[in-house]
Amino acid sequence: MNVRLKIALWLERWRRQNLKELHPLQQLFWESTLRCNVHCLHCGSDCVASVTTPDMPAEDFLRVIDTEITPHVDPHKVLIIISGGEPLMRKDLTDIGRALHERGYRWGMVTNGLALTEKRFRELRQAGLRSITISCDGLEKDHIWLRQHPLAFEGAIRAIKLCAADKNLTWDVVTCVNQRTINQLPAIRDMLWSIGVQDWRVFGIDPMGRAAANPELILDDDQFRHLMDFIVSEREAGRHVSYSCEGYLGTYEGRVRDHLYQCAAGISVASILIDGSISACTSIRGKYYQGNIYKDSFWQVWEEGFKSYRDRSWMKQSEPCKDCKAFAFCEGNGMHLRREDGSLMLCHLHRLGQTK
Amino acid sequence: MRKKILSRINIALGSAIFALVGMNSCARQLLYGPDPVVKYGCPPDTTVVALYGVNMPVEEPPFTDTNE
Ligand code: SF4
Ligand code: SF4
Repeated sequence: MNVRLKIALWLERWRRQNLKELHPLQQLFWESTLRCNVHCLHCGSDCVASVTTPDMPAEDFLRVIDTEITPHVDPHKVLIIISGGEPLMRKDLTDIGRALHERGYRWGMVTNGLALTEKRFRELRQAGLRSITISCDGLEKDHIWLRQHPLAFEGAIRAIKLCAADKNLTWDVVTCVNQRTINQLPAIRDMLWSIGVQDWRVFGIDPMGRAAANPELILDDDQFRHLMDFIVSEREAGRHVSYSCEGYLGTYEGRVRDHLYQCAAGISVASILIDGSISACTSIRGKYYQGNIYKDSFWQVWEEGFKSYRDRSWMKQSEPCKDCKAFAFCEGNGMHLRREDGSLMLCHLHRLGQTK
Repeated sequence: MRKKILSRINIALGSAIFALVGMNSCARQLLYGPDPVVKYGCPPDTTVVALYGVNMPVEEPPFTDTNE
């Protein structure tokens, strides 16, 4: 590792420690529904539960915004991300977005694009939709396979084209790379770039949710390294391709993302889940939930809770992080990779063969 | 007061980090600036994946410009 990167990593550590003390709420996820119009092979949601779990009423969410969050933040500096399930399944999405916009919040959503018609898109933009991420997991056949819906690809492409035609929207495409698509990355890139994509985020699928039972979805170590090298070469060629936020990446730090690794969960990221639970990123296990909006004050939880997120020394108590020399920079990997019992699902540095 | 100082230190640290590593030519937006571009890539599960923030002015323009 070169000296400049090493110094930068130490400075980043210092910055992160300050940030933990400041813990400015910058991103708030709202798991607005568990309903979905596709049935992805890799989904981390439990779709059996989705049928029976009702959407959270919009007024419950807005009550928390009005009474618990707005008095303590500058709304312009908080991004609210409406997630799911598929947020477009909510008929009142435009009204909720407008209500957030009127309160001064930026808001965005993550969608598979299937239900994003031109009319809906215009309505959402008029309601202040500021940013959008569209999932596209490969060329047509592979995307349909992963999403398990015959119109999934058509929907994603339509959504991408709508976004590409709107010059004032911040948007990107995310792709879950798997064993079927790892060798097609240049072809996927060409397809995406040909329809106007300029920001592309790629990531591997982790062994959780339905993906855990399907080894075809998960990259092996060589394939993971190949993915890193691909991103590096794309960025060197001037294309904005990034790896997702998870995982300390050793010598790849600073080369595959626009920032050095940090897990922002509980430091600048919070969420309100479908049942009112207060957490950080929505894929984090239940054991790490910090409260519930139906019982607790969100702001009090944000200020006084999240201790296991802001002090991660507990992650150093067990393997593989116990004697890890990179712990200062990694701090035990992303919170979403911790199981209920505290053990770690995956070490990226290990996958890269850089733990020595 | 302490919060203000920490924020200022962090801005300086961010600039130093960026100067040191550069994040190569693709980093069109400065993550670590005073009004950070909240760029936040996310998890393995696209149903919970996060997304970009934008470096928008405090006073947003009205959203009447969509696909006009
Ligand atoms: S062993 Fe733990 S701390 Fe070290 S790189 Fe892996 S996940 Fe991070
Ligand atoms: S919990 Fe995972 S998805 Fe969330 S910020 Fe941390 S690494 Fe990223």
